Amino acid sequence: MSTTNVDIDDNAGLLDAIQSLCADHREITLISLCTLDGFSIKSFATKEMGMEADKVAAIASSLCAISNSSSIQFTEEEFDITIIESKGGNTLFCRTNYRGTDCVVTISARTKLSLAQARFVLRRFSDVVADLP
Amino acid sequence: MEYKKLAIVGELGAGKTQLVSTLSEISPFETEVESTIDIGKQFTTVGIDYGRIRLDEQTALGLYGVPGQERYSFLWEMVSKSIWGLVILFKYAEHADMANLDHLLSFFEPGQRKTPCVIALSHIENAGAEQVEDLVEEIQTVLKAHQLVAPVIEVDNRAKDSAINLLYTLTAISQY
Ligand SMILES: Nc1nc2c(ncn2[C@@H]2O[C@H](COP(=O)(O)OP(=O)(O)OP(=O)(O)O)[C@@H](O)[C@H]2O)c(=O)[nH]1
Ligand SMILES: [Mg+2]
Repeated sequence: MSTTNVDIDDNAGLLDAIQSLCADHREITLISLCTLDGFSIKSFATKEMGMEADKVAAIASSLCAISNSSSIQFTEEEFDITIIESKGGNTLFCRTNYRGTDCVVTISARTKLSLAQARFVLRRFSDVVADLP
Repeated sequence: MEYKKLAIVGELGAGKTQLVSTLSEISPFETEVESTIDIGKQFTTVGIDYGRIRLDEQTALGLYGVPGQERYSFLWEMVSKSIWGLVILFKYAEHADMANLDHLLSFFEPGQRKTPCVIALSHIENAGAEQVEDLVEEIQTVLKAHQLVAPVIEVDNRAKDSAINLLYTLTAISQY
């Protein structure tokens, strides 16, 4: 399930990174990489989550833009990570760069994965994406 | 001080961000990013536009612009709650997007909810008087199908007097 506007589905490195993240952390229910203007590049979601990639991308880009503008208003600095906490799990967003395009990474996980772990996983994944050739 | 919400909607590039920026008395809250696909312009809104203007001594109007692209319609829902007025910006083009207008009217239902509503035509400087007349007629047909009586006026979102005039029209019809 993915919609693309950039021809990058061929990137085995990206797929590997997503697969190994899922294998390492069974609590993860969603991983998505999309452009800042809301186009999905690659996304993975468990069956129970079953969310459409384009919807995830639209929400992620929107939240990211709102977070950034808010952050600049409140702290005069750009935002790093946006976190949505809920009883059912946590969802985290941050920016990265994928092959020269500014992007948003979204990771959603059940609460068994602590917030600290989730934040760490998000950061590491966005670094891996940024380093992909 | 009374606070009212004005929703500004309309298709991609109709001038929603521009209108909020022209009208707002505070520095607007914008969420534009560079587009990765060709949409005929460099930037597009992916979150909300927010600005504020004082209508009179007692009333402030919150200006809420929402993205024109369909995949952001989840934001329309947020903005559609408890609105005082609705501006639908319609961008003049050779192939005018009536389906989008129809869609917006179905979503915001200004007729049923009795929300004061104005249809504002932008980018009309390249159109002849006859073309504008035809377009207005076509728009009226769509409005009628939604059982909505609303003024269709011309606007230049970049010009303050034109934008203010749009607000006057809206306040005038809100008195009925
Ligand atoms: N000629 C003309 N140009 C306008 C008018 N309103 C806006 N523009 C210009 O059209 C371009 C697009 O306007 P925006 O305000 O970004 O459009 P938008 O409705 O916010 O677009 P999205 O956020 O992408 O949906 C900008 O360069 C504006 O300056 C108008 O009434 N007439
Ligand atoms: Mg805009």
